[in-house]
Amino acid sequence: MRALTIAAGVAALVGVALLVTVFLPMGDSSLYEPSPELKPLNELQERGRQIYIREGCWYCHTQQVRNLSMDVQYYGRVSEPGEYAYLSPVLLGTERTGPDLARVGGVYSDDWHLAHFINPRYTVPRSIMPSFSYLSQEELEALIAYVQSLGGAEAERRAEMQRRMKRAMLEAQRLGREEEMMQAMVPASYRSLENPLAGSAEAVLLGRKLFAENCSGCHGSGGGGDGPAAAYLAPKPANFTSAEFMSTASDGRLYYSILRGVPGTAMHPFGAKLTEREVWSLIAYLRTLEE
Amino acid sequence: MGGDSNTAARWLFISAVAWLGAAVTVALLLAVKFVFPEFLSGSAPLQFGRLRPVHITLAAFGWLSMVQVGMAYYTVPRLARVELHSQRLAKLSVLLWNLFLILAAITLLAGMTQGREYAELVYPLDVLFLALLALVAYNLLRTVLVRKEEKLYVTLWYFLAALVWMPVVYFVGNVMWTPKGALYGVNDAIVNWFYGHNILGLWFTPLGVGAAYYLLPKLVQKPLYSHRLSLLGFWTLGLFYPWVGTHHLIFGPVPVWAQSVAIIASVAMVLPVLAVTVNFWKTIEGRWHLLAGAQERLSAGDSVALKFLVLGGVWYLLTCLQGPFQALRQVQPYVHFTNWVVAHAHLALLGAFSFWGFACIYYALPRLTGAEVSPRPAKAHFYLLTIGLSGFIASLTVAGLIQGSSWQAGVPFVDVVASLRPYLAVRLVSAVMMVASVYIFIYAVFSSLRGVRR
Repeated sequence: MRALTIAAGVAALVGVALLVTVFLPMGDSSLYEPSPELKPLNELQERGRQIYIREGCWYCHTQQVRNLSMDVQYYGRVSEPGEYAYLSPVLLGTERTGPDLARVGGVYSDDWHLAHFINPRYTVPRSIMPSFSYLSQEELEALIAYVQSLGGAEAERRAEMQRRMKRAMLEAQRLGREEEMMQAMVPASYRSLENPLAGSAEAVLLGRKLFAENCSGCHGSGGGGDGPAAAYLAPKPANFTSAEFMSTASDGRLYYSILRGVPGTAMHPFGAKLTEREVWSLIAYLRTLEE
Repeated sequence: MGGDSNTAARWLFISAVAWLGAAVTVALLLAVKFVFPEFLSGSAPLQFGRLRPVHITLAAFGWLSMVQVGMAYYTVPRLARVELHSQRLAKLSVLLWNLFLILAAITLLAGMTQGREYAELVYPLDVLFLALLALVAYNLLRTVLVRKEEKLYVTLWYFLAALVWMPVVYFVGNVMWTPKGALYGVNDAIVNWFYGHNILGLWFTPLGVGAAYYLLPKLVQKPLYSHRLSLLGFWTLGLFYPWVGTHHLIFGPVPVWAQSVAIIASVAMVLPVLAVTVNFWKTIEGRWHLLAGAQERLSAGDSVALKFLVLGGVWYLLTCLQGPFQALRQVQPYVHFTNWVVAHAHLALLGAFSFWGFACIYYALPRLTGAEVSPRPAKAHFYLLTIGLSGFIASLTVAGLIQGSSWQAGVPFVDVVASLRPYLAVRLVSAVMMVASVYIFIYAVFSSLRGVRR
């Protein structure tokens, strides 16, 4: 009898807790109300999500921007329940061995993701993420489509803009007017900037270190535009050993591209990652690479 | 008691030891990958994201659950002064359990997962696990109900509660009313964390604390300090623990009131923890000499069992004080999503509950088999594991604090990743020590069993 009483008592305790902490939120319809622009994933994106689940990406990447200034600073607007309404399982995640991905869609180009999945160290030399080179071409495409969808309508618009710019860049390249188009994208106020650290040996040294850590995967360890990621990228990464390229690219144009990235290419913005001194140091180093 | 009446407990202990070997081997591969990301890369089943749940499933549902239920099969008939209700059902549960773990490992390596932490397994395996849980619970409850011992020792209270709680936690947590095994939207995370935290709070904790309450008076040869205090700890555990799950989602996209409730309950957990701890140390009082020097009074197995039990009690106190601390909104931003939590989880499951698990095996297995534990490998197991675990906890705790404070300061993400490398290397060295200690443990157990057969 005593044993049964204990059993009933502990069952009641867990029952009350379940009622309040689990079933009460389950009955809260506001938690299921989709955000205004939320669309269900399309077939390809959903297939990519299944690969993301299968490969356990969610063990190392969260998908929630918490209501903390540090999260907002890194990842953007705070996540709301309505953004998850169509998702099951929800994949909020539990650890940030890698960065949060809630709003990563469109931040990088499709090509960048392809090279990154083949081997993360191709694009991010210091990454410790596993290589996913064993996925088939179709699987990689689906995974990229999914990752580019993260962040909802805003992300899709960014990713679409990347694709449109890529087509324009390739067309300009075909006509031999690539650098002309690049120059046109750089505001005049930047184009005429001059490197305040030009010629400084100290800057070149810092630039060399930063280049190896951040740039060598795509631009190659010698800056020849031939890093291991280059094979997966179109347009190709800039070749800093080319006299022709280095003479047309002004300091200001390089500065702007590093700061803001080059939409449509794998060159993503480094403005939040490097200080002004670091960017100019990098440029000082680039000027030493010409052959 | 001898012969057939102990077979299930013996089988379960031996299975637990074997699965621990598998779980730590996988763990070592994972630890290497953090330092050398190209290690075994390019192979789907050996990829980090597939191995990680294998490690956790084998450690939590293989080794730890098995050794704890093995201890229940061992202690419940003794505390009730009757034979186990059905030895046949118990043996069936062990066979099903091993089958379950083999299938779990295969499906996880094949990438079959429901995408929810600790609840990865596909629906048929959830059903199988629930069935074997029911088998275990039925068998032990029947045994308690026909007991000849009038008094219900606190160990039985804890085991009873765990057997009532776990099926509920598993069923709800795995959303088993649908084969998909997940809810839509953020409620999926709330249910996931109700489950994730309560397999610790309502399964490993009551089974572990119950076993410790059994072993401690036996090993220090002195009655428990206070039965009343143990019951206070018991009821406050049941009162507060089931409410804490949502503290895994603090500042996340779930209702703020739900986060606050979880934080309050987390802080209240100090009560049951102190009740257990005070009872524990007060019982040992006056018997410290058993730990060092005067070992002639204990057998080799009991001597190392006591060491594991006592140090496990220290890890228990540490991890249980970390819990309420981490749940505070002021602390969360510095520790959540970082390696601090990895250290915390290992402090609980490997430090506290596995140490008590080792104590169970060193105490009970010789009594079940008549085999003597040879003291040298047993001691090597204890010391090597303790050093390895300390290095592991220290390196990951520091790594976690570096992550949390670097993020607060806005350091670029990949720079933070790169700065962790030395700490991840120390973790790897520590992991090598811990894995070696477990291999020594396996050697000690199986060589003692070989002696018996001869």
